[in-house]
Amino acid sequence: MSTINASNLSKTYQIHEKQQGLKKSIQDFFSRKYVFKEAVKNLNMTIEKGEIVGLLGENGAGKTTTLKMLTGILYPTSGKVTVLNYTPTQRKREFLKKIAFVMGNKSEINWDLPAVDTFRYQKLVYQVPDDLYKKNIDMLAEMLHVKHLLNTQLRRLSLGERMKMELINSFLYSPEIVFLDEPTIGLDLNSQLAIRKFLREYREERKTTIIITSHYMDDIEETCDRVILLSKGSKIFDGALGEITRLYSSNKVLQLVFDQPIHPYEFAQYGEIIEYKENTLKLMIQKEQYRSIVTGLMNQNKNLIDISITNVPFKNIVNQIMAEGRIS
Amino acid sequence: MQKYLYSFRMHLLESFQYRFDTVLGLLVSNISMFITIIFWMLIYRSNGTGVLNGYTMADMVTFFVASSLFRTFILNGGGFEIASMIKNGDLSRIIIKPHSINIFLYWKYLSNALFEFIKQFTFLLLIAPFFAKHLTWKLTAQSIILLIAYLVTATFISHLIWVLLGMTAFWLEQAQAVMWSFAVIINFLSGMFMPLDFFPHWAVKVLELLPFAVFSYIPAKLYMNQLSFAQGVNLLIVYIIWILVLLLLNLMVWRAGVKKYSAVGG
Repeated sequence: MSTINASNLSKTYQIHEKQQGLKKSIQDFFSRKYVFKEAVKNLNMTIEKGEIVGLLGENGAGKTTTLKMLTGILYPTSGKVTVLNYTPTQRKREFLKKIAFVMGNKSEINWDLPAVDTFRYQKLVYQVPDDLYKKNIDMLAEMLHVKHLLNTQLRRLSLGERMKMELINSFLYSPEIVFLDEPTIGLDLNSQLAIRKFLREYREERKTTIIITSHYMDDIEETCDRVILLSKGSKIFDGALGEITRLYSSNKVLQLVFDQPIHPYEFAQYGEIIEYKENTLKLMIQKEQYRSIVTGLMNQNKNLIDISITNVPFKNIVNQIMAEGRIS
Repeated sequence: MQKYLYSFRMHLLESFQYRFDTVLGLLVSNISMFITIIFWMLIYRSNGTGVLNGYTMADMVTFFVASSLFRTFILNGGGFEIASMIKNGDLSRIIIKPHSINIFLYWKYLSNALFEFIKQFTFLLLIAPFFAKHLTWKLTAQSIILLIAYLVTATFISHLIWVLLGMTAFWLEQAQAVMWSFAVIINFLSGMFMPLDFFPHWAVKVLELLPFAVFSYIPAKLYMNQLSFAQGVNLLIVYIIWILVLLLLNLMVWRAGVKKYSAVGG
């Protein structure tokens, strides 16, 4: 039995359509228009123990709604879901003790007290034995480099440090599945890197199943084994990270550097411009046209001083898929 | 149980964090008591009889001062907290913890209440020299036990009523208006502005049986030795039945509500 099993999972929200302006608002007060929004449509997925899976999609693609159904916060409108063989919405205590949900935009730790006070409370709620609690806190604080901050009032910590405390708070009872919703939102690069490294190392050590959503493609690329792409509530891709890059391996990125500023549109005929800055240009081109394009450019352009070719970055591939709404 | 006690302690510690807020809150919360007392003093003066409905002016001052102390055990914070958690989606992270939200909130606000009680008690001791001559003190061992039982009952009943009101946010999204309107009604029916026995006899009989009377009117009457022990125990039984009824309602509304919950944000 897989750790997570979802079949034909759907969630429809009923939303009251709010109109602009005072007059409309007053009309609205007496007769309301409701619209139905299908946040998740017929989602099928299975996730095995120990996998790190990235859930990707544009804003409103249904990522968070999916996580909320998997954790039992939301009742699915239709379909079936089991997590660790439990039905999440029954919210059985044994089930809740085995999962953790870290929300990047919601803090759970008491603002006025040092983090360690909240951890002790968490220990009691999740009935963590003393020795395991001590061991876990030591290990987690060590991995995240925040050992010296455990006794500082939470409000005096930086955003990155607070997020690390949230992670400790969620991992200290050794959950079997951890759901992370935008864990690196708003963090600086150092903190992002530390959190990614932590997730990888932790999984190696504990074989914990981790499901993560993020807007930072680097988060996904550096931590996940597998990605699931959602678009407007439907799954459009589900597979290993390498597979998605392979699908787009017919394209390459050509970086051109000139000794003077250039007009990017002169080069649009060769391929899609993905980045441009004064005298540097990045073009996405077809792999097989590489030779002819390069010779062409070398012959026609005396100002060209450097050419390099790389694979298409993961984030550009994902952006392209998102824009098209399907795998091409 | 241990986890709830820990959260009780944690919130108590939290209460001690802000000194200025504590002092200011104390003054503000007592303004309405002072206004009510002054208002009644004026009535006594203009009336000239010295006794109104069996209450001397000293009785009246005692009634309101004692009430101000008992009222610290009205736990309404849990209701407001659950309403705002539903509205802004914070309920999500609470709902998936292996604990009971209702019990968690109860202990949290009980610690608040205890803090308020200590504050109010200290405050009353400090200002006691100014009104001591108006106060009466007629407690027996028996009535002290009953009084404590009433206050404990009041914490349960008030918490359950307010959480019930707070849970209307599942349907209304914004439950503040409902809650504040009820606050006014509940305050009035608990005897905050005038002792309930100023109402006609039949109405008093009904009001005493409602769960609100236990918030201040009934304990104050007991404190003033105007309630016999037997009567008091009978009322206690009525209030305990109310607790059971409210528990059942809470459970039903919660079950229906979480299905409506849409976990906004994030």
